[in-house]
Amino acid sequence: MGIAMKNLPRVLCPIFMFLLLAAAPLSAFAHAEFQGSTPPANALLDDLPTEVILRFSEPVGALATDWLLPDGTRRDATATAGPDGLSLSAPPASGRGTYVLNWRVVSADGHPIGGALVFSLGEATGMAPPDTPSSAVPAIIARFLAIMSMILALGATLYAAVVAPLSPGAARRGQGAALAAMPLALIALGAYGLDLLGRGSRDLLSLSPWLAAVTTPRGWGLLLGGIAALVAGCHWRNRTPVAFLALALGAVSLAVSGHASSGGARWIGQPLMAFHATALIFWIGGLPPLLAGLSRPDGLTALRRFSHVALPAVIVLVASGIGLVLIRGAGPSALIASDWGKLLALKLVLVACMLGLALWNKTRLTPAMAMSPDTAQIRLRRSIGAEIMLGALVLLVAMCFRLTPPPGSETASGPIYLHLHGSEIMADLEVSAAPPAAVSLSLTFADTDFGPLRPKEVSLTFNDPENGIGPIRTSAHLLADGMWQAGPVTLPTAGPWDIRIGVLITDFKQATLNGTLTPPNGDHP
Amino acid sequence: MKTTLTTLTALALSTSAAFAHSSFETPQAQQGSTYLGKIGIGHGCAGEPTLKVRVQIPEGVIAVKPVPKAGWTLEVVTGAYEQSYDYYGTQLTEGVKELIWTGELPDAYFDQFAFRGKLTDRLAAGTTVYFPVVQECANGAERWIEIPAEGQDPHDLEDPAPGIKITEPGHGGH
Repeated sequence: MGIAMKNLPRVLCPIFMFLLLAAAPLSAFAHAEFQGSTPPANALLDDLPTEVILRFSEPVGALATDWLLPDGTRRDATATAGPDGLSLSAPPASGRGTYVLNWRVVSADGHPIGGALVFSLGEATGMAPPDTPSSAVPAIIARFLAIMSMILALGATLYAAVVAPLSPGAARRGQGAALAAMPLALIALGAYGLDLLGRGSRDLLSLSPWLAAVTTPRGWGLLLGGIAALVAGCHWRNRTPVAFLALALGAVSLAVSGHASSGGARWIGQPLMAFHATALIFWIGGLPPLLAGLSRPDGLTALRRFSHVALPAVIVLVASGIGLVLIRGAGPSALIASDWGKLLALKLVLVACMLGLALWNKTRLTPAMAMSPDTAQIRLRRSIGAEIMLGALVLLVAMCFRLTPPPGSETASGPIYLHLHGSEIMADLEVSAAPPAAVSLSLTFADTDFGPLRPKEVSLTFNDPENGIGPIRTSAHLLADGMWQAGPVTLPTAGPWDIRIGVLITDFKQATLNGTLTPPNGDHP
Repeated sequence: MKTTLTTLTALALSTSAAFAHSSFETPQAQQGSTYLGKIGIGHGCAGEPTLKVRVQIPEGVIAVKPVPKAGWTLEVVTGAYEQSYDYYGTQLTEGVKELIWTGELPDAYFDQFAFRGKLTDRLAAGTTVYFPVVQECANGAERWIEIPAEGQDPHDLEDPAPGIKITEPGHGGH
C-alpha cells in the first residue's frame, strides 16, 4: 500500500501530461478531409472487395467502424491505419444487396468526422428491416416481466389506497413486486439494447447496448417504470397521494414507449396511451389483492368497491384503446391484411373474454356471494384467477406488437416532394423514391420572393441519426433547364433522413437548407 | 482496444499539426487599429495544388493594401462601401473589396497571404469579423466561407471563414 502510494505521482504525472497534450489541440483548427474510397461510393460490384480503403488528407485514428449488411444486421469492422489511409476488413459475405460501412475517425485536432460508404453487390437493395432477430424474444419477455411487476406493485398500492386494506399476503406480494421491478427493468433495458443493435448477449458487458437503449424513449420509459414501482413500494403510511404519484409515473412510462410514441399523431397518441395505461394498471394490478382479500370479513364490501371503480376504468380502457387504433388512420382492410391487425384481433378476443368474466362477476357472482358466501366464493376465485391470467396474456400480446410495424408506417414507393425554406433562399426537392432505395433528386431554387436563383454549386448531405448512419455526401449538377440533379445515391434505411443542402450563392456566400425525409405513411398529423 | 489506442496516439501527437483550415496568424486585434492580417493556407484541394487565393474584405475594414508575393500576381477588386468612413479626415466611400493572388502552392506546402487594413470602430468590440476565403485549384475549390450563426460554435462548421476577434480599443496608442 505504502509503495503504491509513493508511486502514485510517478503514475499520475504522465497521465496528466498526456491528458494535457490530448486536450490542447482541441482548440486548434485542423480537420482531416475525406478524399475518397476504394470501392467508390455507390459502386455496384460483382464481387465483394477483400478490403476497403478510406483515404484522408492527413493521418486519422479510427473511433468506430461497423458494417451494416443487406440482411439488416450490424458487424464491427476492424480498421488498420495504412500508408494510403484507413484499411478496413472486408464485410462478412451476406449475399447480394447493399452494404454500408459506417465510419467515424478522429484527426489530429481531436475533431471527429464521420461518414458512410455505401456500395452494393449485384443490386442495390437497401437494408432489409431486420426481421425478428433472435434478440427480439428475450427483449419482449424481459419487458413483459418488468412491466408486469410494475403493474402488480402499483396495483397493490392503488388497491390499498382506493378499495380496501391489503391482506398480509397481498401486501407482501406487492412489496416483492415493487422490489423486483427495478432489477427487471434493468434486465429489460439490457435486452432491449441488444435487440436494438442486433447483438448477442456477450455484448452486455460493453457500453453500447446500454447507451443505445437508454437514449430511446422506450429505454428510459422502462427505468421510469422501475422508479414508479419503487415509489409505490416505499411509503405505505401516507399512501393515497403516493399511490397516485406512482400511478402517474407508471402511466407515463408506458405512454412514452410503444408505437404510440412514434408517428405524426404522437401528441394525441401519448395522452391516449397514458389513459389506457392508467386504466389497465388499476384493473389488472388490482385483481390479485382482490383475490387475496375475498375470504376476509370485508371481502364482499371490497368486491363491491372494486367493481365500482373498475367500471369507469374499463370504459376508459376500451375508449382509449379504440382511439389508439383510430389514430393509425388505417382502414379495416389494411388492418385485416396486416400482422399488426391480426395481433390486435387476438388481443381484442382476450380482452372480450376478460370483460365477459368481469361482467359475470359483477352481475351473477357478487350477488350470489351475498346470498351464499361459501359456494360463490370458490367460483369467484376461479373467475378472478382466470381474469388475471387473461390480463397477463393480453399484456404479453401487447408486447408482441414490437414484432410488427403498425399499418400506415409501411413505406410507399413513388416520389416524395419537399419544400425547404431558409432565411435567404428556398428549394423544391423531388426525391425519386422512398428510402431504403437508390434515390435521385431534382432540385429547383428560388429566393424568398420567389425570384429565380442560380446557385454556383449545390451539395447534399444525408444523415440517419436514428440508425446512426451517415453523413452521406453527394453533389448536384446543373441541367440545361435550370434544374439541379443529384444521385443516384443509396440511402440504405427507411430513415427518417435529415437532408442538408449547401447552396453556394456567390463565391463567398453559402446558404444552408435543412429538411427531413420521412417515410410516407398513413399517420395523419 | 486497438482503435482506442490509435485514437489516443493520434490525439497525443497532434499538437504540432494545426492550421489545416485557413486561419489568421493573429486572430484578434484592437478596435480602431491598423491590422496586419496573415492568412495561412495549409493544404490544397484534395491533394491538388492551390492556384488562386481570394480573400473577401468585409464591411468595416478599410484602406486595405495587400502584401505582394514573389511568384504570384496580385489583383485588387474595388467597390463601394455600404457606409462612408472617416480616414484621417478624408471620407472614404469606396475601396478594396477583394484580394486575389494567382500562382501555385503545392498541397504539401504551407504559405501565408498578407494584407494591411484598418479595423474601423464600426466593428463592435467583442464581435468577430470574418474574411471569407476561397482557394481555387485545377480540380475545384476549397471555400472557407462559413460564418457561424448567432450562438453557433465555430468549431461545428466544416469550412469556417477565418475571423478576427475585435477587442476594446487600447489607450497606449497615439
